[in-house]
Amino acid sequence: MLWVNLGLICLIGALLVGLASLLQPRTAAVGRVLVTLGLQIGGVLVVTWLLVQRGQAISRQLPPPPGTETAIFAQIEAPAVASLLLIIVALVWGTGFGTAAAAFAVGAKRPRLALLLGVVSLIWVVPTFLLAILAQDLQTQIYNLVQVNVSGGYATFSAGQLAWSAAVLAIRPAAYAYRQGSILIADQSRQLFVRTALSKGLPWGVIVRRHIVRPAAAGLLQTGSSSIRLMFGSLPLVEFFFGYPGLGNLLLNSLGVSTGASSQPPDPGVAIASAVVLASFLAILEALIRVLTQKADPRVAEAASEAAA
Amino acid sequence: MRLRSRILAVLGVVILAGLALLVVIGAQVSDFWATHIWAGGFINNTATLAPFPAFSSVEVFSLDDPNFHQVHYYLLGSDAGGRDLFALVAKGALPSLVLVALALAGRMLIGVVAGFGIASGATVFRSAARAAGGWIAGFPYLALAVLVIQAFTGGPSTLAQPGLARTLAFVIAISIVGWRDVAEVVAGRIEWVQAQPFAMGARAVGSTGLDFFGRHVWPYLRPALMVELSFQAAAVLVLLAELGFLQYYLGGFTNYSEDTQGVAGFHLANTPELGQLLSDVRLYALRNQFFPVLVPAAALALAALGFEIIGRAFRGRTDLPA
Repeated sequence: MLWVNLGLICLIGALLVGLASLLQPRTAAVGRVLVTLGLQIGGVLVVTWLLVQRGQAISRQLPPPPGTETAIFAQIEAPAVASLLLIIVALVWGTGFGTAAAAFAVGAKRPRLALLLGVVSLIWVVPTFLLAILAQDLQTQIYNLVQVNVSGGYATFSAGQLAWSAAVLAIRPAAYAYRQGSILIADQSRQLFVRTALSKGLPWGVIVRRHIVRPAAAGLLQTGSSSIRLMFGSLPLVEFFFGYPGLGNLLLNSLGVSTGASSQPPDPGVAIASAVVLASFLAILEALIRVLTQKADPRVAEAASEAAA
Repeated sequence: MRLRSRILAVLGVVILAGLALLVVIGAQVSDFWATHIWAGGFINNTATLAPFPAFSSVEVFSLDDPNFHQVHYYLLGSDAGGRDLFALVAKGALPSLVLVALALAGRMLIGVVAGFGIASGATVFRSAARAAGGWIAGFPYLALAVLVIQAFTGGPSTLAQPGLARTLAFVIAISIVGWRDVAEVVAGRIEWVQAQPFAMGARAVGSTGLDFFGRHVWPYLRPALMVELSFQAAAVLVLLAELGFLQYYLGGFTNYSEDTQGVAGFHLANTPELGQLLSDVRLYALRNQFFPVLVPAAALALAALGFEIIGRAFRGRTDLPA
C-alpha cells in the first residue's frame, strides 16, 4: 500500500496547492506548474502500481514479503544518481546541441549547410539500439587502431560509460530538437520585424540573437521539452544495452528482462520505484521548462493567471 | 506544390513502394527456408556455421538429420538457424504491418476523441483529457509500453506460442503511448476553426453537429491528420523495433543454444515477425555478425524513413493561415 499512499499524498498535495493558488491569483502561474507536477507524479505512481500489480497477478508471482518495501529506497539511490548524471550530460549534448545547430543553420545563411543538417536529422528514424551497436563497433575500431580501451567497462559506473551512453542517448533528441527548432526559427526569420531590422542595417548575427531566437525562445523551450521526453523514452534501452547501472536498467531487470542466460527474478517494488523516480525526473524537468517558458513569453503566465481568475 | 516537397513526397513513396516490392518477392520464397533450422553448410566446400553471409550459395545440412542436404542461395544471408533472412523479413513484415496498422488506428482514434474532448469546451472533458495526457506524458514512453504489455501478458516473450491477448496488449500499449500528440493537433485545429468568422457565420445560419463538422472542421483537420498519421507511423515502427530488442514481441520462439555453458541462446521465431527478429540483436552484435542485425533493422528503419519523408513533404502545406 506504500505506493497508493504516496500517490494519494501527491494528488492531495496538488489539490491543496491548486486551492491556495485560487485564493492568491498572483501565485497562479507557479501554482499551476506545481499542481501539474503533483498530479503527474501522483498519477504516474497510481498507474504504475496498477500496471505492475496486474502483471504480477497474471504471471502468478508471489507477493513480496512484508517489510521489503523499506529496502527499496536504498536499492534505487545509486541508480537514481547515475541516471540523473546521464540525463544531464545527454540533455546538454542532445537538446542543447540540436537547438544550437538550428540557430546556427539560420544564422550562417548557408542553404547547403541547412540541407546537410536536415538530412542528418533524419537519423531520428533510426532505432536507438542500432545507434548503440554502431557506438560499440566504433569502440572496437578505436581499440583495434590504437590498442586503447575507451569503452569505460561494462555494467560499471565510469566516466567512459557515462560518455558513451550519453552520446548515444543524445543523438535522436538532438535530431528532433534540430528538426523542430529549425522550423520555428525559419518561421520567425520570415517575420516583418526581421526584415525591418535588416533594412535598418543591423548585423545579421544581432538580428538572429535579438529578433529571431529571442521571440522564438518559448517555442524552442517547448521543443526542448519534447526532445527531453524522447530522451527519457530511450533511457531504459540505452542503459540496458551498455549495462549502465541506472534506473532504466534497474526497471527492466526488475521486470524480468535479462541480458543473458541468467535473469534475476522480477521485483515489483523496485520496478514501481524505478519507473516513478524516472517519471518524476521527467516531470520536474518539464515543470522547470514550463516556468522558463513563462519567463520567456509573459503572455503564457498572463494566460495562466487569467484562467485562474 | 513546391519542388522540394514534391521531391520529398516522391522519394518517400519510392522507398515504401520499393520495400513493398521486396516484401512481395521475399514472400514468394518457400516457407521451408523461413522455418527449417540448419546446423551448418558448405560454401565452396568449406564447412561453415550459420549465420551464412549474404550473396552466398550454401549446401546446407539439417539439424534433425545431418544426411539431409539442400543447396540454397542466400541473398541477404541467414539467421543463426541458417534460415533465409530475405524470406524471414518479408514474411515477418506482414504480421508486423498488421500490428502497426492496428496500433496506429488505435492511437489516432484515442487522439481524435481526446482532441475533441479538449476542444469541446466542456470543462469536465477538457480536464479529463488534459489530466490523462499529463499522466501519459509523465511516463518515459518505452517504460510505459513495457509496463502495459507486462500488465496484459505477465512478462517478456516466452517459449510459449502467444494468443490474441498478446496482440491486444501490443495494440493497447502502442496506442496509449503516442495519442497525446494527435490530441494536441486535433484540439488545436478545432479551436482555430471555432475562432474563425466563417465558423460564427455558419453557426448563425444554423449549421451544427455533423453538418458543421463536415463542412467547416474536417477540411482543416484532414490534412493535419494525414501528416500526423505519417509521423506516427514512423514512431510506431521505431517503437516496435525497440520493444523487440527488449524481448517484447508478438510470436513465440525456439531456443537455439550452441553450447551448454550457460551462454544465452538465440530465439528463433516460430512464425516470423520483425520485432522478434530484432530480439537477438545483442547476441549477433557481440559476435560481430551484422547481417542478421542490419537486415530486419534496416527494413524497419527504411519504412519509418519513408513515412517520415512523406510527413515532412506535406507538413508545410497543412499550416494554418495566419
